[in-house]
Amino acid sequence: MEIKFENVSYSYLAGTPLQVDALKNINTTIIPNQINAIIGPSGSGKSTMIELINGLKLPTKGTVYVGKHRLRNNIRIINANKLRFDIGVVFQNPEDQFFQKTVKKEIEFGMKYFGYKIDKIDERVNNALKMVGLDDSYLFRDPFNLSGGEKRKVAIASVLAFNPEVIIFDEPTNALDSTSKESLIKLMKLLKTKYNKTIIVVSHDVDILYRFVDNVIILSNGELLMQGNKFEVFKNVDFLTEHGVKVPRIVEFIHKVKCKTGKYLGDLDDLNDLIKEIYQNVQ
Amino acid sequence: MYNNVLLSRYFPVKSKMHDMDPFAKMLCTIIFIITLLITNSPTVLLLLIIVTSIMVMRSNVPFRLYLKSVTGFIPLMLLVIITTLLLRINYIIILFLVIKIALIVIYTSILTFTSTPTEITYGFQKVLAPLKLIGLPTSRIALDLTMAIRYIPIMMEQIQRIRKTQASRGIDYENSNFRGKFLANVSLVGPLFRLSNKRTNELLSAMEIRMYTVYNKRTSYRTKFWGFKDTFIVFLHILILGLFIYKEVMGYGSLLDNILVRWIEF
Repeated sequence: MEIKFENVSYSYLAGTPLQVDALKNINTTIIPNQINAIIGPSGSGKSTMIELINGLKLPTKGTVYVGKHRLRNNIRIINANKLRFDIGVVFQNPEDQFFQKTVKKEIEFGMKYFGYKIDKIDERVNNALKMVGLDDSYLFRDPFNLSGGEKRKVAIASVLAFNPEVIIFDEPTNALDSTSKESLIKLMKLLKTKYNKTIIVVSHDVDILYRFVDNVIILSNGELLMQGNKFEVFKNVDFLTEHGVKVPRIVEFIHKVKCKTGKYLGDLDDLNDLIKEIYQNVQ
Repeated sequence: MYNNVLLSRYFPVKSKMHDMDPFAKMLCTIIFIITLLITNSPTVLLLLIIVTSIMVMRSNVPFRLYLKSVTGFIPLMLLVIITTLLLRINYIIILFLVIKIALIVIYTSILTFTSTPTEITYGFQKVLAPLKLIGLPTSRIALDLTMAIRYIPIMMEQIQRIRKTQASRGIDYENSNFRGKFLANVSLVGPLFRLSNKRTNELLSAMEIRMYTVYNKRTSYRTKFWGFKDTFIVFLHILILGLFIYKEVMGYGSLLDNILVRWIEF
């Protein structure tokens, strides 16, 4: 499913003295069946972009193309349910997402609305829980009494359950310990390779993102700064730091080595690969 | 934050009305409403319309916003018209009733458009101050009011968040019928109470950590002071009320009233 932004602008409270331009004239494409990251400092319009994709907000100017849907200002989305069914969103704060009494009901919620058959629901709930690494004992627990990490996992499971084509993660690594982070990264890679999902990750934790992302879209003050393959984009270290965008530590290191010795260590995103490369160079 | 500002309907521009002391605005509103409720003389009504329109012009808020708030009360006006027509009351009185409703709406809109929630609370506290003599805990009432006002944006934010998550998982708010919308909104109530309860506990502990008690004397931080214009406007309001009472007691002014009534009838 292709997602395309064409001259999209969005302002909060448009037409009043309080108008805030969250996005300004954005042109970009989100590449299907890959992991796309939207990076930017806080207040740069990342979350607004997500809500535009999901049709929760309509652009003030321009058009957002999501598959067959065209989202434009002042035009009601004709088949909103189909759009929402295709796009699952894991929100920033999992606690806001819960409104049912048990984890099972919480995960079932989406499926019931999207018209799944009842006998399939149980199976899907169990599968979704397994995918995020929780067992059946959680099914009848109160989602509000879970720990922060578990809450996030349940939130992810509730989206995975109805099997959307595009999955959006808003700050997924917040409030997760390092092992959970690793398993989440594994899950995202699995979703991409095995299930052919398009994944959009929004975060400002560049170090973690850089490890598993394919493409990046960098926003700054509501404007599109750069976009494309992560290796290509993060080659412009000086340009990015100039605009207040944090560069991954690996990239920074490779850049410093290049500046001092003139030797380019290569396009690396994994720490182990970097160590290997350095070891070979030293030898 | 933006929702917060919108919800209190505060319109952030500079104007004479914005600069007024909130206490004065509050006093004026009270006097205005009392006058409007007891009067049935067209002269006083005309004066009140003039005062209101001057204040509307002075507030630098677009007139369409006032119109918008009046249009919200059209069902109420229709209800009043229908019931009074059924009771076979003189149509001039019906006209007066409709004008009175519109005036009250516009006047209170001036208050809410030109003062922030904190200012309103401050004014409210000042208005309540005489009740301290009877032994009413006014600072406590004011605190309750502050909390209530503070809670509206929190609740709205929470509602919006839950609505977003529900919408992204299949509840269609825009295209569903009335029944669907009703059911979707009902499903908000449970989690909303739950989350707000949690928020309240957090807020309470945060206040307790900072040793907040109602009974301690507190200073207030404000930048607006009582000026000449406040005295003038409050005096104007008292004058109109006084005029009406004087007329009632002495029986004066019926000539102008008669002329106005004739004119309206004509």
